[in-house]
Amino acid sequence: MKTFFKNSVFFLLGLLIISFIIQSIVFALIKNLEVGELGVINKIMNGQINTEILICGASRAFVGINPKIIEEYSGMSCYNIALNGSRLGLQVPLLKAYLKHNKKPKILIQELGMYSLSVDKKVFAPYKFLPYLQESEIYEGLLKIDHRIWLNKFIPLMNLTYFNTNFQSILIKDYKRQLNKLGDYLIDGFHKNKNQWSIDEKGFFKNPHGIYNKIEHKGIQLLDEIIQICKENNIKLVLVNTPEYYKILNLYKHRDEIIKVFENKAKENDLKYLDYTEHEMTKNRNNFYNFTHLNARGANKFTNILCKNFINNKN
Amino acid sequence: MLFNSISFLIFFPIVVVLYFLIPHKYRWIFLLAASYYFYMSWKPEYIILIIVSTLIDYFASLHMEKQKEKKKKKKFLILSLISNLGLLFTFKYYNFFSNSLNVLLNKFNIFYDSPTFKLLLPVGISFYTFQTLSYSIDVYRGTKKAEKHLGYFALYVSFFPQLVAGPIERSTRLLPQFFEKHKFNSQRVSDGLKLMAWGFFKKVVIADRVAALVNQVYNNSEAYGGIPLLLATYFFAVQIYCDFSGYSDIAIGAAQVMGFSLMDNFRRPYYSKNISEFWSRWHISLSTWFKDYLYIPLGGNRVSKPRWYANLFIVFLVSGLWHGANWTFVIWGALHGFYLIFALWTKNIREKIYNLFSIPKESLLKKYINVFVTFHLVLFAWVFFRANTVNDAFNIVSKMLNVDPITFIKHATTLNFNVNLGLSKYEIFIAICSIIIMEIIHLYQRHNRMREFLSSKPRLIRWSIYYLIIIFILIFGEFNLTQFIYFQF
Repeated sequence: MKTFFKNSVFFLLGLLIISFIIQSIVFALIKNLEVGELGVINKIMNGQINTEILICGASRAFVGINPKIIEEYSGMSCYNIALNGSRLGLQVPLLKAYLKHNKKPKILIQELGMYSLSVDKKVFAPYKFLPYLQESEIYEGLLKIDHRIWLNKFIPLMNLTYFNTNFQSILIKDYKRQLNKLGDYLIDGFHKNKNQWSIDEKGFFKNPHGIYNKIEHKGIQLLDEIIQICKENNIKLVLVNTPEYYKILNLYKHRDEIIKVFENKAKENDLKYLDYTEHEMTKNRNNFYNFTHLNARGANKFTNILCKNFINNKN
Repeated sequence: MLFNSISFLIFFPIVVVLYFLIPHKYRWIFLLAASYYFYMSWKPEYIILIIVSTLIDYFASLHMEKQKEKKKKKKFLILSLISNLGLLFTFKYYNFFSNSLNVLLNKFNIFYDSPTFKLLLPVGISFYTFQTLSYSIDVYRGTKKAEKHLGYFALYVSFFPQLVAGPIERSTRLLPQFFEKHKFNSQRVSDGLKLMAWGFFKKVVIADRVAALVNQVYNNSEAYGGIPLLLATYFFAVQIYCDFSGYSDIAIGAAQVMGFSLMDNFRRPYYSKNISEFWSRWHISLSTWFKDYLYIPLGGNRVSKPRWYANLFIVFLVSGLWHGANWTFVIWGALHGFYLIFALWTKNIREKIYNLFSIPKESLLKKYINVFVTFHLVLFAWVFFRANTVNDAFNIVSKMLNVDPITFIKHATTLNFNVNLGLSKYEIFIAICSIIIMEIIHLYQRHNRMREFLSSKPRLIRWSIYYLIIIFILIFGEFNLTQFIYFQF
């Protein structure tokens, strides 16, 4: 029994050493990327963005707000650091890390939507953040979403499961692009999604129960935190609800209450809240690739509208 | 608690260490508590069903044994049968029969809405009810003495490694093992852990990966052509084997670590030369259960030919229904019954055909042809097993039958299917590589024992192989906590 336990300890030690080596190699590969979503996180952490206008939010901002158009319209530099699959629980730590490593922007465009006030249930695509768990803003933010994240910080073996084939596919694709010098497929963090509408509407509306999005106290606290950060750093904050295909609006069960929260927060803090969910462009399915996400055509159209509504034209 | 969850990876080592530290006479209490905890981590209130089933069978068997008259014994057997099958019927089949009755009555313009209940199917109910049923029947037949110790009996019903998805153990095999004092045996522990690792490989690296493709295609079957459907069906055959045999390996390995021996449940079933052999190598604990407790009581093959065929057909219909309360499973069972009867009926004709082409009885060619045909018959039946509805199944079959095999092979070799299959080309490539690794090991194990091969190597090589397997599982495994398919049965 003694020998067995001694061997087991040595075996586990060996496993930890091997996993540490693998983890170090993967982290080095991730940190060396300059393209794609991983490239955006690297640029944030390396302090390479430093723009005057910053776009934050989730996938709707990621595919919906084109920073190039804002740059051209305003004459101010602009970058989109919106995180696919995130809610405010992930967005706030990333914003904090951004402010730590980059110059403070003059304007922050924060995308909000029906999911914003319910907190992240898990860390989406955790591999993006694993190399940066030493950053206190990222680590503490992630810890609030998943308390087991400390295991990932201290036990490399835990991270291997996140380097799954989905991650491997992304890494291979991005490296191919980088090594062949094909440039970034993201435009300053914005994903130009050229897909056309592909959703079976009838099938979608078969769901008679609607979409429930809870308003969680933690979600409101996170929104307050963004407002506070902007106040402290003298950043003009603009809250934006990007367009959604109009037929989905009736499915949201708490839409009015959620919008009320956004409006009240804007009023209380003297902020602009721009809601485009009932804009006429939401009636045209050609602007979307699914119910909640704009395609490239819709994004360009929308960004132009957004510019006119709150940014001074450079001319 | 799923075997492929972090909770189990914490739970299991703690249970093993404490199990060996606790004196033998208290171990049953600890194992019983651990087993109940294991089950309750899924839905605590459903533990009541296990306890009720345990108590009824325990007391029914004790009383059964005391009776001298067969008639009185039978009363207690009926009590056990009604309570176990009643549980199974209420939770698993009531809504199915109720809905089927409504549909049938509607066809005759009788509009009656029999009520349905919103009940969550208790995990493993088909397994533990069948296990306790076999015990009651054995006591009735006198092949097993009724267990006097309620604790040991409760542990037999709920032993956590095999509680939720088998192997369905016989009391004559498993119960006596709880009385034995298991000393720590490093070789046995190490062998058990290796078997568990092999099970995890099959489950998380292969089954859960191909599941993404199978689910995507089968859940949207109307949107796909014959080629993706055929690929998904091949992948489903792999998925269900790796999922269930992976679970069985983890269960057998986990029990082995603690010193228990559970029965083999799979013996490379897709290499079977006929359907009868397939059923002696697939889900062995269930096949033998049906043989002992249904087929033989019906008369087995010691009856007239038509009756024999009817017996076979009934067993497979029931087996289909055991797998799920849906007509798709009934058809799947019926197909296997039909295959068996057809094989028996045409045995002489087939032999004549082989003789006509001068193919010797034991030739390799004949063997390969038989394995190929048997596998594809099983594959065809899997369509009904996996399809969401009977209509879907027929649509899938009709599309698949129109596929040109050459075109399919072309697509499969280039991994180019031009549609979203739910898996990237890279993921399909990884899945195929993993399947090849599994098959190489299967082929090696036909004539050799992997355990002996590994033991003969120096520690450095042995450990390197273990490290490679663990890292491979962690990096190429899917850890989305996909439930084992057989949990739903």
